[in-house]
Amino acid sequence: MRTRALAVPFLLPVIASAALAQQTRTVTGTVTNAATNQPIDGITVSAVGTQAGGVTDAQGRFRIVIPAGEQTLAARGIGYKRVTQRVPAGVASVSFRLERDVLQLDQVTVTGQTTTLSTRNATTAVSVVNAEEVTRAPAQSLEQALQGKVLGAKIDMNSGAPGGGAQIQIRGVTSVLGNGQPLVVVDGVIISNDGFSSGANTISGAAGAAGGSGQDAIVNRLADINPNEIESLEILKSAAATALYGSRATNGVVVIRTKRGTNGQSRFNFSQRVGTQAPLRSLGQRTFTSVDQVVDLPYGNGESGEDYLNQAFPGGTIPASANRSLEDEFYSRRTPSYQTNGSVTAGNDRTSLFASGTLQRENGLAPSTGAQLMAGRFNVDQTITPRLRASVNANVTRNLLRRGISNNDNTGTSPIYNFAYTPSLIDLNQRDASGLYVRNPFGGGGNATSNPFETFNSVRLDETVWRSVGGLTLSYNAYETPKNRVSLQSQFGFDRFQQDGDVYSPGFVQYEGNDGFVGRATQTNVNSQNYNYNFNVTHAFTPGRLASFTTTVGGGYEQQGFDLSRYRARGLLPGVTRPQLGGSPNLTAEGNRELFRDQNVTLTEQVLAFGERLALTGGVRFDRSSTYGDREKWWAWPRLAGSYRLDTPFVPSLDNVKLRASFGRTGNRPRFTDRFVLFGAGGAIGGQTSLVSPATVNNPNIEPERLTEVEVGTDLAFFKQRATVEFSFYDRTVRDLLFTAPLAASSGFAQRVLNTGRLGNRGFELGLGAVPLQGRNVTWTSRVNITRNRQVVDQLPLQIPRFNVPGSFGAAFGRNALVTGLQTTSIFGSVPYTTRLNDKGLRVPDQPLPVGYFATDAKFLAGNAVNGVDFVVVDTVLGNSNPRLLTNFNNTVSYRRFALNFTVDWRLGGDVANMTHLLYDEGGNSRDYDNASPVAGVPLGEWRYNAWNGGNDTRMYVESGTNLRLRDVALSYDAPESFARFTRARSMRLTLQGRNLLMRSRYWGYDPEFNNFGNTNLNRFIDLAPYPGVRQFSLAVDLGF
Amino acid sequence: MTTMRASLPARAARSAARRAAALVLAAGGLAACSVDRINAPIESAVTPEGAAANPTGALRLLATGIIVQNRASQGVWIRDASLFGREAFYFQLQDSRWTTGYFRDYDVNTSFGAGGVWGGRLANLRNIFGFRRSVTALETVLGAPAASAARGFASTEEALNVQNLVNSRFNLGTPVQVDSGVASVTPFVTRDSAYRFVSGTLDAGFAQLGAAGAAGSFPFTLPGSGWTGFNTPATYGQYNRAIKARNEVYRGSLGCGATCYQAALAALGQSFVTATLTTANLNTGVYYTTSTATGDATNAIWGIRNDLYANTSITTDPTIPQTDARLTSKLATGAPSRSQSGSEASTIRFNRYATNDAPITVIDNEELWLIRAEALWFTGDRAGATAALNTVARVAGGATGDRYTQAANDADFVTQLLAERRLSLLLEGHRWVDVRRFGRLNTLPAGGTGFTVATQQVVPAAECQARDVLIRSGGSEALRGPGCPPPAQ
Repeated sequence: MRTRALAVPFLLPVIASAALAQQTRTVTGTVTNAATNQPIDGITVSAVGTQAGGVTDAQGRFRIVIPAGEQTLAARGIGYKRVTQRVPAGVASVSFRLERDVLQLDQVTVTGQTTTLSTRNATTAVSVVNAEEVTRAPAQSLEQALQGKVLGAKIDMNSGAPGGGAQIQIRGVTSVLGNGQPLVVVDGVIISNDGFSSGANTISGAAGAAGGSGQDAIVNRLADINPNEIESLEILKSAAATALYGSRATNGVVVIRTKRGTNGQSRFNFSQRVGTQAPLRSLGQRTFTSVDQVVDLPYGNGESGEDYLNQAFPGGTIPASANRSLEDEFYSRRTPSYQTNGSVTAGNDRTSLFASGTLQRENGLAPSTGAQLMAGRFNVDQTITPRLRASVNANVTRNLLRRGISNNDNTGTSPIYNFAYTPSLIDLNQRDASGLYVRNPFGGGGNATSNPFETFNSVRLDETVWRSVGGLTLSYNAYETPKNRVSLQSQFGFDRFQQDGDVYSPGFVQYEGNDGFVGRATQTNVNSQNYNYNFNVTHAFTPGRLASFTTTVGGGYEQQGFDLSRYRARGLLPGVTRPQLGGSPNLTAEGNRELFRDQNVTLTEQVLAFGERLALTGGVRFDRSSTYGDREKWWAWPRLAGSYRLDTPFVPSLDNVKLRASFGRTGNRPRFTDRFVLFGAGGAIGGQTSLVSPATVNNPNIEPERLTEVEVGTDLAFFKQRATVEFSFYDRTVRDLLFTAPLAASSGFAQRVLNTGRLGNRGFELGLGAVPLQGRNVTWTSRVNITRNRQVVDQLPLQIPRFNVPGSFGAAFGRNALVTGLQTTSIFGSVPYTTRLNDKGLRVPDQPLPVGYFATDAKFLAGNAVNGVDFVVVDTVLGNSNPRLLTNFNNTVSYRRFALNFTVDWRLGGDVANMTHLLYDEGGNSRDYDNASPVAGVPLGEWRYNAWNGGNDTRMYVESGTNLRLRDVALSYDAPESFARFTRARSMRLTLQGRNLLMRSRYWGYDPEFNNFGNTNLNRFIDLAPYPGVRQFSLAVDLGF
Repeated sequence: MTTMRASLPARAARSAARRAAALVLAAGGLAACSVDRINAPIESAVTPEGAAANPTGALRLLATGIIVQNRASQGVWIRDASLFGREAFYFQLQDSRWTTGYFRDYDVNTSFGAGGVWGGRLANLRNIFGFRRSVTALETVLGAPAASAARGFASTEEALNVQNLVNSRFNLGTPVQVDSGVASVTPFVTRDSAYRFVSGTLDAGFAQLGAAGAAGSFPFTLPGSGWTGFNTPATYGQYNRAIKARNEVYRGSLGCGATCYQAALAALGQSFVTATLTTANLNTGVYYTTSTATGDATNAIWGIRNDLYANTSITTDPTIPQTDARLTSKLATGAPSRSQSGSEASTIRFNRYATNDAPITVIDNEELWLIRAEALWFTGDRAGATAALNTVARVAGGATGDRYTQAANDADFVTQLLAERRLSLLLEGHRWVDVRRFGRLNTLPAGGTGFTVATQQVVPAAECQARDVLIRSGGSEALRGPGCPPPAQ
């Protein structure tokens, strides 16, 4: 192997130490809260247009050295509005009074590896969420805490199962098959957000006889992040911002900063939260009145079910009182959930630290389900010499998830799937004389079905993750004068986790034996190791008041990898609950290893000019990756963005206007295997292993897909900053998509990997902020976010056959397909068209077919008489899974010591393939089954199912997901100090919290945002027997010592 | 905390720390950019370079791969043909399309049954294409006899795959080979041409096997006990002739007549058919073994045994003697009554594959005797034909004496033949093919309200669409798939 070194431009030796003597003076002062007169710590005070600055201590005091002569000082900090003050030459003491920044006008946005910019100068759209917002109410995972709070992001939970599993889509979907997750960076450490099955498929068989599958309600590993440790979270949306991360950033970047210590008094905070949970919605079930009603159902006529009914209801009539609700009985667990958190912040002028520990237990609605998170964090900042600073972050998490079985199954074990075919006429939550749970006689009976009560109380489905994330940042101020500052930063971060999936199903459970094996166990081990290293040199140059320039040159290296191994044993020996080699009749093993290595060189330039009114950021990142066909080729990811702020526009009551525009290019790197030409593993026969041709023809020349975005926007502030408007429009084009183009099966292959096609992705984001009420006692802050995004297939080459996006159940249930000119989120499915004979005597549809249709009926020209009606089945667009508009309302009302926060989320449109509804109709058990239908004498459920007609009319179960819901509510009370003193605390806050309290929707199922396949780029609209959505309530006590 | 006062040693330490830090930073920056650091090999899959390290080993693995793929395809075919041929219902609780897709919507190119016996068989043609290339590349290493034996194996397995393809797509025809280009395809050939191709390929294969010499051997081991007695080029040649005999009776019944039946008898003569039929040699033949061993597959039909119900017509058909031993051994009565989506109900399951490691028959002596009966009848030896049928009925079905008297005409003989074939080859993928080739699809029961019997499986929509774009981007119109609906507008 050759080893080539690339010269990193070093500026430092040239300008190492010879500091030019300049005239300086010292200014001291204090910063206080304008409303309470309390000192504020952690506020940055700096001289505008220079590098001089400092931070206030616990008493709100600061001391900074600034150039001689008159200067303008600015004070800013998270949660407060920025204030500037002119300091004449002779003045040595200043005080600032800061107002709460309720509209969050002044925050910090990332512009480079080492550079940031105040949001008032931001050159791109910025979304920042602070600590209070993510911990306001209990959440299953960080994503849930973010729902309804991020302008420009669609955040969906995959199900209601405890412990999370959710997807963040920033500005829509920009890749069909490449990675669809945003990049997550915690304190400079790029962390893994992958998800791995822990083996639920062993029991559900959703993907056939395999250990794990994508339908296993997989939890993506953002679930390991403890929201209590977060100081702030920024979502980079614009390509001009994310291009900093090169070929990993088309889906946006989530930049998380954790809490850090401050210089000043040490503090201890303790919070305890206790609550419970309830289903957000129930599906309900049909009320049966006679045995015949059940027996006549396609699935009610199993002999064991009939025998049971005849025995239980010998007269043939079923009284209303005998109808129960298995669903409600099953999802009835209200065991308290809790969260305990303690944290310490401390520091002096050399060392500051933050330490926290959290123990959190979320109990699930279903028996034996829950999630337990233990997390500890230790962040230290140390000034080693006045020029050399080190920051160390260390975080250890243990996350134990017990989520049970949910989603699709092929064994009758997923509870909702099971209840769809089980009339609620039997108490399944009881044991017979032998001590076993009663057998479910319905749905075929025997081991073709299951008793979910028995399953959940008997099987073990544990997912344990031990994770450590840490980093070390060294910054060195090599040279500093009022005009020049050169600093070096070296940042190393690692993220390592071990996931242990442990599935054990004992032999006595009802479904055992159906595949010929009694008792099964699967062990999954994932070992994920990721690290990244960056080195940057930053030169800040301020020649005068007019402008300042910050140049950063750097390079970095990133590595991500995982090893997965999974052993599944069927037919366990007595007492054995883990797969053991050689001891089980059937043992299968699978393994996978992926490794990604990337190198990059970055150049960033940031200019602030004209009294910080003009801001320009630009840069280019060059990177290469082990996943590219040509590993030695460097790809360039340029970006350029600018904003200009007009502080005194000529319109009364308009405080300032900022116009911004940006351009950026980012990429999405290929998947690990895309570049490798491979044989397929054929499996074994007669003790011999084998090789076969691969189904997918990979591509040794694969390149990253490339996204180019142009964004324009404006930020306005009115009425002395009591109202704001933020508007952005973006137009993104993705070229050279990573694509597995279908091949004719008669080529002997299924598909090949190509770079081809073009997607367009356009939308706008409108944020409105207002403080409708601001008095001495009452403040009401309101923020409305409106997002609209459309993704269109701009072009696909003619040579690419129609592409049905993988990850759905086919035309009968709806799927996304890529057709030039149509939206990527268009749902295609079967629609019957009635026919007529045309003038040539051919039978044709009697109405024009829509664009993008594909006739799927070989008898297209002959017509197909079903129930006396001639029709042809056409595969065409019948819905769109993308909501037309996402709107959130965030409100905070504070009155004296009380504060009320709530988030309302309104989604307009967005269709869902409700297969759960189909199951309930097929099982004759849907709650509205007996309602009137368009055909007299046919119950609604039967009519719907018959109209669906074996998948010939998909429209019957594609339903609108429009919904309005209360995402979170928190009512808090800041107790008076006298009250707090009872507990020896300085401060005390009591909060009543609620999550997901109400949902108004005509949608039939649990939640239109759930998805059977979890995190998917497209086909994210498949509702199939999910774990029900959860409503959480809790009471929290926060004590400050 | 107290502030540490800077002492002299501390200052020296600080300066050392500073220098060390600068060095670490610089070294890190340089190390991060070396080319070695960008390599990430694939370690859990076989690359061509990996295979090239042991080419003869790779050839052995590829040979096994062809058999593994055949086994998977045969499982799919037995399931699908049992539904189309009304031997069975597949009442899968979780998906009613296993009924509607096969009994009602089979003409829709996206229907549930549209894709069966397509991708798997065609992928195996690609495997065989690759295998032949490897043989050519290794010609000198293997030596001419072994290379010829390997080619004979490839030709025979290729013919078997094409035979199954044309059995499933029948009047639509089928492509019979893959193209050398990755994305290109060959045109469909007609049904009769495809069966003729099968015969020709089998003959070529037989010649290649013969060229390996009587004492020749394969440069690989045929996997598992299913090949016992057929694992040398010479004995494998008997298997080749058995498949040939089957193909010739297919052709004979589809219009070729006595010529092909003569060819069938000729092939039988070189096959492993026995002169006398006994319970001991009845099931001599070639099998795909299944097993619960790690990496191996269990019997696919056994895997769906709880949902696979027999069409009850076999218990009411007057041509089927209800005392036949094959009925009692292959059917399991008394199952919970099930039906689905308007189908008839059934309480009978199958016991044809009794365990999860039951082998799947490719062809056996019992079938060869039935082929012999058919070929004898249609070449004029009616007595011999009837005697052969009676032998099968006696040995396999436990009939006492002669079950059949010599039929008065061809139609009556076919009735006798189909009854014996139905019993002997139950749940082996034959019934649909057999009634169809004798023009008797109309004798199959519909199986439920609104159901009809399919003549053949359609060409899957993905195949239609892929061929359509090949034509639209300059390919020949001859590439178009038959039975494909009008292309997208």
